Formats: sequence, structure tokens, C-alpha cells
Amino acid sequence: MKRFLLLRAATALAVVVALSALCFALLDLAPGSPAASILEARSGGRPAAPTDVARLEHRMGLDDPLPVRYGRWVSGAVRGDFGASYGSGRPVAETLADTAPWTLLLTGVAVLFSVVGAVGAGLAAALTRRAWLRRSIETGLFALGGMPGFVTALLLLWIFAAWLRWLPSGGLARPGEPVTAAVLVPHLVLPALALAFGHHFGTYARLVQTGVARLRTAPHVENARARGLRRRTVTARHLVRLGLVPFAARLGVGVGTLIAGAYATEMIFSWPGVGREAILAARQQDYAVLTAVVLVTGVIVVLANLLGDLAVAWLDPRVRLSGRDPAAPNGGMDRAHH
Amino acid sequence: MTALEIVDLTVEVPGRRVVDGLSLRVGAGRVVALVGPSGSGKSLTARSIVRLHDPDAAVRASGAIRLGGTDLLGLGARELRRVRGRRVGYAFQDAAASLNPAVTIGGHLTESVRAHDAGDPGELGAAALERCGLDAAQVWEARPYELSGGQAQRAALALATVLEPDLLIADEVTTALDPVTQAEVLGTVRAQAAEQGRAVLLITHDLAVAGRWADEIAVLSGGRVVEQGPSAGLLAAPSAPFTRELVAAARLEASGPSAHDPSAHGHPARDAGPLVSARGVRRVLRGRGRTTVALDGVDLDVREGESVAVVGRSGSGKSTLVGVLAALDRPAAGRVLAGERDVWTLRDRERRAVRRGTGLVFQDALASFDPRYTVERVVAEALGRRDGVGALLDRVGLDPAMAARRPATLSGGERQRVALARALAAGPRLLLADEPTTGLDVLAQERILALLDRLRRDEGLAVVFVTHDLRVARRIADRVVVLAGGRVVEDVPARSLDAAAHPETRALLAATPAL
Amino acid sequence: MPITDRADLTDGVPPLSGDGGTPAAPTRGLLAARVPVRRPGVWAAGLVLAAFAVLAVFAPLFTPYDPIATDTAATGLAPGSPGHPLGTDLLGRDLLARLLYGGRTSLLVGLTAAAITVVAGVLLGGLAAAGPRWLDELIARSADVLLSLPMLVVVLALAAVLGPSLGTVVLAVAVTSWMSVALVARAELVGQRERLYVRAAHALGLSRGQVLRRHLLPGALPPIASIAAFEVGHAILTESTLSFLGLGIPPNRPSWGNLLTEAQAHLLTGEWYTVAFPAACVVATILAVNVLASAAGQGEGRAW
Repeated sequence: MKRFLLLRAATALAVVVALSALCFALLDLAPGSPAASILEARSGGRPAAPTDVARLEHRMGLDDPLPVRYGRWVSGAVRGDFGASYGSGRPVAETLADTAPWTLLLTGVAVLFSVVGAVGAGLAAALTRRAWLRRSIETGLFALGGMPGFVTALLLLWIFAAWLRWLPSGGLARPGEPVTAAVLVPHLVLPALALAFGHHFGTYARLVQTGVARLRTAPHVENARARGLRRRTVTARHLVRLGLVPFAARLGVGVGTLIAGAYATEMIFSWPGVGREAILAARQQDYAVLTAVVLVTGVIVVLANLLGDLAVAWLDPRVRLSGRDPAAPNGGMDRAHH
Repeated sequence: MTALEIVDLTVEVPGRRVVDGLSLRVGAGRVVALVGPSGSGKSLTARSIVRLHDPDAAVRASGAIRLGGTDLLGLGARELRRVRGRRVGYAFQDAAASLNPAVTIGGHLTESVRAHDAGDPGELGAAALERCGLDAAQVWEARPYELSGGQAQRAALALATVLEPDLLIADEVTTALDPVTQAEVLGTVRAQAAEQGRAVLLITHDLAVAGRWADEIAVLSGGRVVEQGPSAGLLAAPSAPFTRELVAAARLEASGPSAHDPSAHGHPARDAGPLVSARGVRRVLRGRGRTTVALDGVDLDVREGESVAVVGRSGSGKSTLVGVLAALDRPAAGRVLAGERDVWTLRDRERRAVRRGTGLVFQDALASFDPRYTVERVVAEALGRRDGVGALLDRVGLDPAMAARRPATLSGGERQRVALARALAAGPRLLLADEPTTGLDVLAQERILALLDRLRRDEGLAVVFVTHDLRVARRIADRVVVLAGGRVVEDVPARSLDAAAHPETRALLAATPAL
Repeated sequence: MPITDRADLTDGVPPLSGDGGTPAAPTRGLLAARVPVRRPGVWAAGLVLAAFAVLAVFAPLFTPYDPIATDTAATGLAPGSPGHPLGTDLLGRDLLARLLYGGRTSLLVGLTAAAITVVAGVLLGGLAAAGPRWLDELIARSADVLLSLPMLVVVLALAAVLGPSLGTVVLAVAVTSWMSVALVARAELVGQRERLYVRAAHALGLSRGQVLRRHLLPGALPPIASIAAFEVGHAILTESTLSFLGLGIPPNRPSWGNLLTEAQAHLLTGEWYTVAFPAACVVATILAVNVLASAAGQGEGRAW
């Protein structure tokens, strides 16, 4: 178990290091000088004089050698200092602090919807004896599998906001207006649903279904029936627990997908989270904001992956021995489609 | 007193009647073996007793299955559940797989006891483990995959008998175990039957196992019992023709000239140097996190026309030796000589020629064929052309019309013959056979062994035959080599095997049931 | 070693397990015969894709309009208007023309990106399977690291640096999706290598090249073909997402994703059809590709 944990933690660390290098490269290789952008923003759009730019660049340390810049950037990032936005000049950390909670709330609720829905649909399809029910669940899941996340979002938007007019189409946070639960909940439902059902929901449900269905005739399940255990015990303890392993193995990656999927969802529903901020930043080529968001999102995703691995180890103790992913006998085929 | 009585049982799976009017009695305290070849309906009968069929399969059973006074076929799901585990215990072929890897042995026992509200799980469970020869303190917290094969089968047995059922169904429980472990497990089953007055239905395809551990034998053929009687009497004087055939096959007696008499084969002189030799061969297998020394200084010569049986328990290095002799796996130390030449100093092309001169047959014949290939392509690939395939199939006793079929559609015995045809295609002087009859029933096994005999006699082929079954070894070989822990501990002529002194050989001899 | 007669139940009887019950298609050739051609779903999927391909390639034959030409005399027409079967947008551009030409862009990007992804993935996977151990480790670890990063985040970063263009999208898709192809190719090749029939082939004295050609590649191809098809769908999906977010294909060039960005605002004002048609095209294409992909991979089209 210890070996397993160390191995996974080491991989996670490697990913974070790789991510930080990627983010720094993004910041460093980006066209244009940040100093020029900042001066331009301060002076209200007038191009800055080259001497001013050079002076600011020197003050910001942009003319130091690469390792020094990387080291400074990393040590800043660790302390939560991501510099200032090229566009508004506002500290990036402040923007993150304002937007991150909204994204966490949205993703958290979406993960809940996704897990409950996928486990429910998958178990129903795997355990039902009614062929028509299984078929219709499978067909529905297959159809969802062909829909890009933003199309699901647009569809929900059209049905519930434009056509039925049950729920608001977005625009949660107006400046100065307090957000109460009565305002929040209706605004939250559609984006959370769109996020949950628009991002590989079919894959997850299908993993639950095949994981459980595969075990229905497994020797240990047969033995459990032969020992006269109650149907409920057989199903819960011997069928479902091990049957969920492939799903759980995928869950960590899945949470990451949802966090990334929140980018588009937040745009569509004008949800005031980091994803929307990142896209606006990408469009305006505000690399300071973009880098910070990419880094923070990536680290959260890596942590989610790590937690997913732990869940698998708890469900199937054999994993602790081998350190291998039991759900990916085909080498990650089922991780193929983020 | 009759514990289990099956009257006129008929079981149908869609499209086929597998069990057809089967009647059988098992008395309390008696061990009754249900013996028959593959496909005779043994396991389906056993499963029908507690209706353990695949929930999706439309299996229909009629007739009567009486346990004490209750007809089990008439029970509803709720009543049947109370019978399962409490009055009928069921032990499966693959014990480790029949336990949930995420649940400890203690957890399994506890849930069984709780499901029937039968008392204190800790106490009952520990007692059951002790009865099966396990230390409760040691295995209670263990998970199934942490146990050895023998321990897992004992644990599964303890689980099946924790509530002291009237009837224990043991479904091929020792098929995957080596003879020594098999003897220990079946000894326990038999002792418990006698001590606790439990009826035991022992499902097996091995007549010798039945003869040694069962009080009575019921012979199954075509879905019905063709003969039932006390073991000794039935084996000594079988009355039904099918039983006679089965007993003859299980005795492993060669028909025709004795395989052990070298003069009958017209062998070349013994002083023609060895075909293949191993000299101080050491091979280390690296798994995840652990390394095993599979072969540890093995010396072996195989001469022209000779038949050598390599015997040993699971894990003794038998199969590894085959890979080394076939010039497929490179030893970590030592040399493998083909003729006089060290195969691992040869050039790649020459080493491939050595491989072509050696036929290789595996235990799992089906897995050794490319699933995309027909029988014809399988054989033709080894032959290098298509026109000789029919003749080769004929030589191994197969209908040349089978060439168009896929190996997956053949029976186990037929697949093994296809494998033999492929191995013989390049006209080798040496055949390496790695447990080629282990999965087969006695009739199919006998046919393969007879075929090998004939090939040796007619073509002077040298054979290295790996098996864990000393009876097969005696039947096929001039010389028996016993492996233990990766070393050769015995290398004697087959006829002086009984006089062998090494403890490992004695243990194998003692554990091997004889007819 | 589970041996002996489990066959009691299944010997000579069709498989009892319930999943669909479609017997696997005969596997004669490499992969062509693996696709069960008789399934109606597979036919339908093939037809849909063929139709889209024809419409996109021969777009000028199906519409007289230029997709980017504005017509102030015909703005905001509803579908069914004379001369404009799908109507026009607020700038008076013909929606049918934009849809057809958009299909050109989307399919082109999807196929190009998928082709690059698959070639790169198979090459790297093959290298990992056949090459020295350190190379295997390097490729496998890099793939693991990249898989751990959310794809969209990486694509976003790339798109921001390179600026919106067709090439950016293709590159972004390839960079973020080669890993799954490589891992599958590697796993398949390694898995095939450990099969008993490959050992048996070596025992026959065949050379490495012969074993590779006769046994390893034919065995590994169907799963690779399957994931390659999935990658096409995936690439189209990524293109449309990026373009929808304004980071993919430049706005003046129609693509299905771009059309959706422009149309999103109309969704709430009642012009739902501006969204519905491009969305339907994207969904239909991806679904059809997925049907073919799963058919190639497992010999049946229902599951995926």
C-alpha cells in the first residue's frame, strides 16, 4: 500500500512539474511583451515608448536568464503570486479568489449529478431483466456520447430557458447584488446539468454497466449465491463493489474533464468562474491570467486523479499490490476521450 | 439414510437437452463421485441441485431433486436461499476465483453465518477453518489472493461447510492442484464426510481420483447415469460398456507393443550423441517486484528416439525447462546444446533452424493458434505450403475435411491433434509437449497418448513430455525426470520409478491415485 | 489454471451470456471483414458520413450563394423562404451555404487532425513496444503526464499562443490526443507479443519480421482502427468546441463550431433553427463515426 501511494504521489508530482514548465513556457513564449501590454493598459491604449517598456521589463526582471525567471515564477506561484493581469493590471490572485469558488461550486454539483446519474443508469442497465429498459438506457447513453458538451448545454438552454421558461439562462452575478440561495439554485441547475451530462456521461454510465454486468456470472458471485446470501448482499457486496472499480478508476480523470468542461459551460451560462475568465483571457491574449488559471486548474485535476486512485485501491485491494490499473487492461483505451 | 436423491432429472439449455433422465442417490456420510467426460452433464447436474445457473441463461430442469424430505426443484426463491449454504454447501473448481478479492476470508465466513442467522460468526468460522486444516488466526484477515492454491481451496471448503450442511457438492475442486495438494484437500473432504455424517457429491473427470476418495462411483454418459456402485467393485468389474471404455482409458495401459521396450521401436544405438542437452541451465523469471529462480542448474540429455517425462509440482520449473529446450528462452547461465552446438552462440538464422527441428505442443492448444487462422492455415504456416495439410491431419487422426474449420470450433482433443500436426509439419526429430493432456478427459487423453506412442514407434521421434501426473509419465516415458524447486532431483528409467528414493518423488508417488 | 469441463454448459451450445447475443463476425481479412456489414446501424452511419462528405466536397453544386457574402436585402429570413431553404442570418448570409461550407472546414480539420494523431500515435506506440526499455518508459510516462492534464486547458493555452487558425486547431488536437492512440497501439502490440500463439510462431522458427507481419500486426490492427475512428469524431468535437469558444477557426471562415457561436445569441430570441442545424450536423457526424468505430473494434455497432 505504501509503495502504491508513493508511486502515485511521485507521478502526480511529475505531472505538476511538467505542467508548471508548460505554463511558464506559455508565459515566456507568448508573442508581445507583457510590459508593453501593461503600459498600454495604464495609459488607456496609447502605445508605450520603447524606453519605458525596457525600463519596466528590467524592473519586472524580464531580461534575467531563463532559469532565474522560471525559479522566480515558481516561487511566486507557490505563494499565490501570479503577477498582474496584462489587460486590467489587477493582481491575478484577486481574480482567482473571486472566481474560483464559483467554479468549485459548479463542478462540485456537476460531479455529484454525474456520479449519481452514471451509477444509477449504469446499475439499472446492468441489473435489469427487462431488455427494453436496458436497450433504451444504452441508446440514450450512446446519443449523449455524440454530443459535444456545448451542444448539450445549448439544448438544455433552449428547452428549459427559451421554450419552457422554467429556469434562467444565465447572468448570475450582477455587481453589487447579493447572491441568496433563492437566486443561486435556479441559476445553478442548468449549468450543472449541462456540465454533468455533456462530458462523457455515457462513458461513465457504460463503465458502471459493463463493470457490473461482467461480474454477474463471475465465480465469486456464483459462490455468494450458492452460500445462500440475501440477494441484496450478493448485489451490493459482491457484484456492485468490484463492478464499480473501472468506473472509480476513471473518476479521477472524469473530475478533471468536468473542471475543464466548465470553461465552455461557464461561457454559455455566463457563470462567473475561472473558466470564463480563462477564455476571455485567451481571446485577449492576457497570458498572466491564462497561465495562472491553467496552472491552478491543472493542479486541481492532478489532485482529483490522485483521489480517484485512492478510491480504486480501497475498492479493490489487489491494486495495492500490483500498483497497476485494473480497469485499463487495454492500456488506457477507456481514458481515450477527454 | 439417503441424504440426496435425484430422480429422473432432465435439464435443458436452449437448443439442447444436456441431462436426460438422470437418477442418483447419495447416502449420508458417503462420498459419491459423479464421473464422466467433458460435456456429459456433470457440472450442469451439480448446478441444478441448488439452481445455480447463469441468471441470463434459460435453463429448464424437471424431475425431482430430494434433499431429506424436500424437493428442491419445487422450492421458491426464498426457501431455496435458506437451503443454499445451510443445507447444501458448494465448493467450486477455481477456489481463488470463487472468493471475492476485496473481502477477507473472515469476512466471507461471517457473511455466510449472518445470512442464515446461525450463531456467532467468529466461533463457527474459526471452527470450520480448523476442520479444514487452516489456522484461523493466520488466515482470518487474509484476502483470497494472498493464499496459496491449496490454502485457497481449503478456505473455500471451510466456507462451504461452515454451517455443517447435509450435502457438500465438490465441483472439480482439485483439478487445478498438484497431486500432493489434491490428496490433502480430498483427504479432508472424506474425513469430514465420515465424522459429520455429511453426504458428498464429488464431481470429477478423473476416475482414479474417484476410485481413491469416493465410496461410490456414478458414471455419467450422454446426460444419464449408466452405472452406479461401490468404487472398488465398479472399477474392478465395470458392467456398462461405456464404463469399461472409461476404466480402460483411465488405467493408461498401452494397447499394442509396450512403449517401454526400446527394442520394439528399433531405436538407433544409444551412443549417437544427444539431440538436445541442457548444461547447468539457470533461468530467472522477473515478475512485478519479485524474481523467481525457475531453473537452478539443470543438466539433461535427450537422445534420439527417447521418451522422457518431466514431472513435478506446480512451480517446479517444468514449463520453463520446455521453453529453454525449445531454444525460445535464453538461460541466465549454463548452455543449451543442439547436437554439439550451443544454440545461444549461433546466429539468429541458425537458431531458427534449430527451432524448426523441434516440435512444440502447449497445454492450452487453442491459445497457441492465431484466432484468425483456420486449421489449414495453422498447419500450412508450419509446413510452408498448403498441399500437404490433408496428409498431416490424417497422420494425427483427424479428418482432412476439418482443414476449413476454426480451431475454436473443435473439441479439446481435436485441438491438441491440430497442435501435433503443426509440430510435426517440419519433420522434427524432437517433440516437446508441455502438459498436452492436462485439460482433457480420460478418453481424449488416452487417444492423444496412443497417437504419441504410434509416432514414436513409426518415426523414431524423441519426446519430452511434461506432466504433473505420474500415471501419464509411466504410460508414455522410458525415463522419468523429477523436478523440484528448479532442480532435477530424480532421473531414472520409468520401470524403476517405484524404487526411487528422493523424498519429492516418494511424495508424488504417494499422492498419485492409482486404479 | 481453470481447466476441464466448464464445457459441460457451453460445449456445442451457442454462448449463454446475454450481451447482445450477436455472434462475432467472421474475421477473414485484416479488418474489413471485422465490421459486421449486415447491421443496419453500420449502413446508416456509413450513409450519413458519405452524404456529409459529398455535400461538403461539392458544396458549390448545392448552393448558388457565397457563404460569406452579405445580402442586406435578405436578412433574418426564416427557413423555407424562397431561395433560402434554411433561411439567412442577420447579415443576410445564406444559412445553407454556410452549413455546407462549414462542413468542408469541420470535416477537413477533423480528418487531417485525426490522421496526424493516428500516425503519430501508432508510430510512438510501435516505438515504445519494439524499442529499448528507456524509450518505452519515456513514451509511456509522457503519455501519462499529458493524459493527466485536462485536454481543453492545454488546447486553450496553445490556441492562445498561436492565435486562431486552421493549423492551430489541427496541431492542438494532435498534441492532445496522440497519447491514447499510442497507449492502445503499444498495449495491443505488447499484449499480442505475450500471446501463446506468437510464442508458437517463434517456436516454428519464423523470423521476427514474419511474426510481426503474420501475427502481431493483424491482431493489433482492429483495436487501432477502432480508436482511429474515434479520434476522427474526437477531432471534429474539439474543432467545434474551440471554434465555438472563439479560439479555433477564424470567425470569417464558416465552420460548424463558428456557426454555433454566432447562433448562440439567437437561441433565446426564437431563431432556434440557427443553432439546430449546425448542432445536428456535428452530433450526427460524431454519432456516425462512433458507430463505425465501435463496429470496427468489437464487431458490433450497438455498444461503443
